[in-house]
Amino acid sequence: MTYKIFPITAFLIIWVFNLQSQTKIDPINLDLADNLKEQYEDKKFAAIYMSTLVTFTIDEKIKDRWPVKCTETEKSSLIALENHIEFSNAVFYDDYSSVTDINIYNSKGKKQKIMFLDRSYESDGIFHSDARYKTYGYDVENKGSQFSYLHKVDYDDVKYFSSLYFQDFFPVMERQIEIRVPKWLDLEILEFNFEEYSVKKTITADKKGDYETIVYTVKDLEPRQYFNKSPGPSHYMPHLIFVYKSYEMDGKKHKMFASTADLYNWYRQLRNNVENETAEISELAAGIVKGASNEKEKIEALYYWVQDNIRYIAFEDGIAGFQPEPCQQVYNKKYGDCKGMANLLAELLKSQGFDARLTWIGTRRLNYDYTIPSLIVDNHMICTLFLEGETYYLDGTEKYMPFGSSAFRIQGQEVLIEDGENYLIKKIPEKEYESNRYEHQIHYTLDGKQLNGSAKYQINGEGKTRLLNIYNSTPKNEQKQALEDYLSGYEKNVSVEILEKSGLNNRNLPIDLEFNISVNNQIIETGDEIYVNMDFEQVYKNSDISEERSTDLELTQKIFYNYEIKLNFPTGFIVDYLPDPVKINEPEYTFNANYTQLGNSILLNKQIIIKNAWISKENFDSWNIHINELSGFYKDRVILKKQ
Amino acid sequence: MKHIVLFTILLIFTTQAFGQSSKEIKKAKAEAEYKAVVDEIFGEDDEDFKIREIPEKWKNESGVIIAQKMLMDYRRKNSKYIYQTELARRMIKIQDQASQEEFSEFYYSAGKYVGIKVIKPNGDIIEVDRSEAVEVEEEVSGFFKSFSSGRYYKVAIPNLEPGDIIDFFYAIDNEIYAGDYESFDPVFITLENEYPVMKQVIDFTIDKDFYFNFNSYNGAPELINVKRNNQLDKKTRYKDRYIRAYVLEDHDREKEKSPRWYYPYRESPLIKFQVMYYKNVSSTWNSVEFVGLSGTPKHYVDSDEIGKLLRAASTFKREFYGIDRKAIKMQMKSSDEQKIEFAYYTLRNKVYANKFKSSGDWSQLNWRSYNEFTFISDLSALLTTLDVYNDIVYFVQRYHGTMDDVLLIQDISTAIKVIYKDEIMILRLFGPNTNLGDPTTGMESTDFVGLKNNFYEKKFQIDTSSHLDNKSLAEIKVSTNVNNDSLNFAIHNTFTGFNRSYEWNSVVTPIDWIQEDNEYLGYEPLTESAKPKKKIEQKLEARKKNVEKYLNDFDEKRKKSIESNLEIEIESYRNFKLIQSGRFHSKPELMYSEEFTTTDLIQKTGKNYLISIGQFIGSQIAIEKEEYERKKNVYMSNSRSFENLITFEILEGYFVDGIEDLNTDVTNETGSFKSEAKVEGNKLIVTTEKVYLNNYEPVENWPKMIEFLDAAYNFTQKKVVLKKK
Repeated sequence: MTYKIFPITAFLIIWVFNLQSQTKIDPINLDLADNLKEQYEDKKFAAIYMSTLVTFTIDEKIKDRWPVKCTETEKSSLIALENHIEFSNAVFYDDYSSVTDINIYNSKGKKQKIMFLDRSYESDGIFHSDARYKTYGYDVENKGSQFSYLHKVDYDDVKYFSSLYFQDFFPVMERQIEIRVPKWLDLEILEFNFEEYSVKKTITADKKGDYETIVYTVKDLEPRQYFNKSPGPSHYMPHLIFVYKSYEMDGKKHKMFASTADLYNWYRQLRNNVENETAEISELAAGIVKGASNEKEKIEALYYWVQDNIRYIAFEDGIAGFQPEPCQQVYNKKYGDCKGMANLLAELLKSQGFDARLTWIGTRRLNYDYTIPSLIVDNHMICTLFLEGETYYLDGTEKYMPFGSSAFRIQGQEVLIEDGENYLIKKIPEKEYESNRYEHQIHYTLDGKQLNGSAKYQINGEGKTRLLNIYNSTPKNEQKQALEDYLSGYEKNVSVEILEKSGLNNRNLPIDLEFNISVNNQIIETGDEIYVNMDFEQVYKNSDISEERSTDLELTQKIFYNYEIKLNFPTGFIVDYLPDPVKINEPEYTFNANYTQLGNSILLNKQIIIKNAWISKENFDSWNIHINELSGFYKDRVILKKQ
Repeated sequence: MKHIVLFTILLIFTTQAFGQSSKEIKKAKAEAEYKAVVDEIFGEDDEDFKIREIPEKWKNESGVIIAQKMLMDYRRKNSKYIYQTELARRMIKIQDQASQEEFSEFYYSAGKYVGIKVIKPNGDIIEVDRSEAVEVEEEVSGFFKSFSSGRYYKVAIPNLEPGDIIDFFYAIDNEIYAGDYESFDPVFITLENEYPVMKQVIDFTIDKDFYFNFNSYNGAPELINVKRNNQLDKKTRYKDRYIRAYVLEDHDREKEKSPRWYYPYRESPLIKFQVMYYKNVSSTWNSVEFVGLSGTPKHYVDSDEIGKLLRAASTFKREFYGIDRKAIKMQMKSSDEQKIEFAYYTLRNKVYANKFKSSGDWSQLNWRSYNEFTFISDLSALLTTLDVYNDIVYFVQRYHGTMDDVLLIQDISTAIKVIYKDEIMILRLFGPNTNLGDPTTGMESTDFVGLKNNFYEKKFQIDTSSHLDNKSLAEIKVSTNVNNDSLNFAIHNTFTGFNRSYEWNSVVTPIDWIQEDNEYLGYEPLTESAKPKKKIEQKLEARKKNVEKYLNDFDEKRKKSIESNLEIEIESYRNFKLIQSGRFHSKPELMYSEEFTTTDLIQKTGKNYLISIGQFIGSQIAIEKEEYERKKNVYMSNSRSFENLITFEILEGYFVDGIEDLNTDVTNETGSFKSEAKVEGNKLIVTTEKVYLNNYEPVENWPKMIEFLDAAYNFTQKKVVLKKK
């Protein structure tokens, strides 16, 4: 387990209960509180000063693992920005660490009696982990009051203490991180996302030369902010990564994670501890591939069997957070975490003679690669398959993922592939947006006040996987309705009747849907004119990005919608007006939409593309202008006129 | 059902027998006993849990509950301790991936004994290993819920597939120090579940000195008294003749999801029960609960019992402190009406405005502690001090049931009856804005009984409000800005009756409470004069800051509220004015006006403009496809109406076209939606009215309701064209 950035909500769970006695507030502090409040309207307190001290010790009795331990001591001096506030804070720990001290001091520096709650940290998608937190709190009566806290976490093995973030959920006027590196420890500190911050760094040696002190100082640090669809914090928050290269003990130098090879060796050692019993698995594999006529079919059969039959249920408890569960256990329970599923899949493939390897990977959420030998760089495990000179990446935790494809969340990411005593580093190729093509073809005729017609949709890539997930997790007797609702864009004005569907049971094919469609309330008749809206799926209409947003926007997939909507109009009418086309082609996205007349019909062509699933914050202004233009196109209407 | 008896005996014996054993023996015995209990329960010869086939009609359901049985057992241990035991066994067939996913992460109550097994279609049985189960902190509901424990664990069920059956049980035994009295939480169970149920059974075993209220409602099966002969029973301290058993059986119950506008307690098959323990029969005489005879279920409660209990419970204080004696003295010469007004509004001021005033910060306000009981107690005492006739009345909230359904004290609500202008007026726990005499929706179409008079006065009802009493009127004036293709809205809103409730919270602020109360009650703006001056200044300063902040946020909140109601984005919001708060019965209408500008409801199309005039009235209920079919009657909180009067200024050089389409009239016995449009000079005038005539409709009328609801929805989709002349 590594130090994690936990969402703010975790902090807000509980607070406890000390009423500060009435004290006279220094007018300077009142002014300070007012000024800070003006700057950070929604914050109830701020840190005047916050420091973290990291110190290392060595436990010479420990021989079977790294004997280096560390202590992280966090201290803050805070000021209340409102009357009657409840300060609450949380400190996280797990099986490899413990909270050894929590204290709160009032404005006079007097230690306060506090109570705290100890809870397990529950995160989405993890059934159970050893991550826990202690919350503690303090009631402050008066604006401008100062108080401080201190908490200490001891890490039993520095391997699991690998990063340190500067920001907190409150503003910090001065933030300091001090790391005392003893001379027996070779520690490299990597700095991330410092570009937008003026971080001062000083290095001093103590007089005796026992250790070196590295101090980072930064002023006026904004609080952490969370926005929907943000990249992982490692992409934009300033932080440090600790790479432990070696330590000296008994006059000898001992290697830690000096290189990727060292990291791999540790992983390999865990991997070698896995007691796979392959007999049962071979038998299983033989049964699964029965009837497969070639290698590819065999691989598909095994890969899909894991996807369909093993549920992703993750236990991240102690070493189970790093070491795969034996394949037979995963098979017998029919559930496992990513490591267990990758291991089972690899064993199934190997038993059929394929070259399948366990593979470590950091998802897109992580902004690291394997040049950093640290546990922080990966958070996932898959299985790599080498076949006839090609490399395939198989992720057992996915559902409905065709062989040869990878989920966007792992595309473009570096992987560490086992290779006996060696390892391989490769990169999962990133697919272009075309792979996620939504093809929507609708052919309407004007029928009184309704648009009636037929439609063909084709859904590929990530969209297909998502739809299959929704469809299959809907109760059987509600699936038809769910699919119709999906096709009608959840619009009350739209009714659909499905005629043909394919691909819902075969993940290798796109989903193809043919249906009748009928749309209400999209026609205005005035005198000799008819105003028509041919497009009820107005994707990205009014999707402007709020001015407050300060992080890039990352989508869960690259987007490619292609629409061809045709309207046959009755004879006796001419096209009086077609909305002006939209033609926007930016490096990050494309919006193309235009109407053309083809004899007695009008064709709407529309393409919405978000090329890299990413909108950078420096492009938010132009994005908003373009969204406005697109929204204008959506609001506009075709006008038909009686001849 | 024999296992319940055996089971309970086991519990009693094991807890006693281990007294002198060493730890290891204890542990081994406990394990053996555990296994014995699990084997006993799973191995029991219960035909209902042997069923594997699902009726044809439920083959396509996501899951089907084959059987669920809950055994509730209440016994005395000795003169100080009692046992409460809950044993539940449930069996569900997983029929698709949705239920497979739902049940793969399985929650169970932290009972003394738990067993979970999976029965595969070929008959193989797999016991679920719970060694990796983890305690959960979230609330658990539905299939997994227990009634006697709030602690739950979850476990991942291995290898669960569609076609599998999960068979599980838990047993909770609570040994409780009861002293003379113990009351268990009341339980309300609707027999309709998320999944259809082939058979469900609830079984009670009730010892001497336990008192048991139970009844079935809305077609739920009756409870039946059963005789049990079990020799093991004789080993208990108490003779088995005291122990009585009752069973309820329910078969073939379809699943049900609660539809829109529905009160499940009024219509879904329901049972409610509560068990109490009184060591001595004499203490039941002063009970604050409805108590029958020991061991015998009490099925109903009559008005005499309610009256007796409420009279006993309402030994309220006779004098009201918290109000200046001088003010009370001054009121003594006023009319009863004036005294009632004084009492009600003074009390309301104390609970809300004054609390805010003295704290200076509403984030600190907490009036949850002011409940129905304190209200009744305070107001009754105040009225009595003022020498005004008042009586405590009780009733059953309309959503909860009717007077005939009263079984538990929780079924009853109370209020105060006074005579105001020669008519009965009911005063109920207020909000910060409620007027004297305002009913709540739960008081409509329901019977009241007064405590003082209930021996000779019959039940009475208050008038049920009509759609004319609960009305919203929006006068919407709209003009066009040609330079940026936007629309300016100036809206004047008026709300009456229940339609004020939501609005009050969003537009009337604590600042208004204070100002208006001061004016009405003749208070000085600052009443903290007794406190040191400096502190008041500090508080005032703090309050000023809070008020400024609140007002800044206020406009933003209004803007967001309109944006979400009209489904638009607003460029600028301005000029909010509270014209009348409607907080006093003399001026009950809530009125406010506001202005904003948006570019979202206008679009230049060629030379012309499209105006989304239908959207001006705000979003309307969109009945979804699956709602068209309905099985349950329709229960709404109240009848109501919504009127809009739109005056749209037609841009110079343009004329409006397409207005015929704006005329709608769908009227039937359930309600109506009407709209009319006309052009007068340079103005397009559109009026709309949506009426819900009743607070209840039989299900046969649902299609008629849909007619006018859909008409209103369709209106929101309408647009008109401003054409260049």
